[in-house]
Amino acid sequence: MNKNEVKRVFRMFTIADYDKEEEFLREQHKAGFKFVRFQFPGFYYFEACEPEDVVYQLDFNDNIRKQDKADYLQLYKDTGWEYMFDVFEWSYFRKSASLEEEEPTIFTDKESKIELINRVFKRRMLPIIIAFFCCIIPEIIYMSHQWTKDGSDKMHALAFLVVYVILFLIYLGIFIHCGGGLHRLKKDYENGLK
Amino acid sequence: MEEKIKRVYIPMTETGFYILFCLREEMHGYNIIQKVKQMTGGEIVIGAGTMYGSLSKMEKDGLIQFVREEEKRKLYKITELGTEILNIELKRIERLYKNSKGEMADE
Repeated sequence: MNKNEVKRVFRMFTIADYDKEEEFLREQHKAGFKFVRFQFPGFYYFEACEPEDVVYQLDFNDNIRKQDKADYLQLYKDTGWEYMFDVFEWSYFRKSASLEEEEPTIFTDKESKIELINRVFKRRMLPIIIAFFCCIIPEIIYMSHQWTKDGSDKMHALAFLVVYVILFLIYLGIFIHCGGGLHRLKKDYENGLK
Repeated sequence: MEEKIKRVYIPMTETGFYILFCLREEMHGYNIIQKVKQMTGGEIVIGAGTMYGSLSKMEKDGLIQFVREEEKRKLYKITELGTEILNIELKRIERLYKNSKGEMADE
């Protein structure tokens, strides 16, 4: 920890939990801990500050070219958001809620919230779905074939099979959690519940 | 006009409509946010994320075009296609308004 940092919290938020992450950071700030740094895979560093209601918002900016970044950040600055940093294509912004009449938010209509989910899905879920069907599934089939075949190195095949089955289960967990989470968020946005 | 673009944009979202409507004049995103806020008596305040996403999408679809940059802010203006879409939408809203007042559309 750097000398000003007073607290480190370990939390894991997946791509389907960005709204929970925003809420978590807001609560910390309210309690007098301002978010200053993130470290992979899930360390949140805080500095002591005056307790304040500060809204944190995350934007997924996968499609922003380098030369467009200044314009992008300027728009947030103009609308009163403090830009913090990017973590894996997610930009972190914050703004004090105490001066605003309405709850500050970067996405103000249903369509743009759904658009965000679609972008996250395309960029983060699609690659792992492709890897799942093009790599893990074929490998499991291949290795189980090797394992049962006469005259092959059975131990070798079994070891790989176990690794791939574990990967298969991890992937399944990710699909269910993230896919389900994104789907629920999208439904909530569509129905105006969030 | 491309049918697909028409299907996507009509009817327009409130945000989409105001952005396109404002861009009949050259403007940047923050200009539009302020203008819309003023036009609607503070009722509609478009968020930065929503504004940025809408501008990118409309530019990609050819409804608006980048004109120039001014102190890091990109200025856009409506294109011919955008004007065509906006006019269709304006007619639709006009009809809606007339009908709501108990009048029939002219055509």
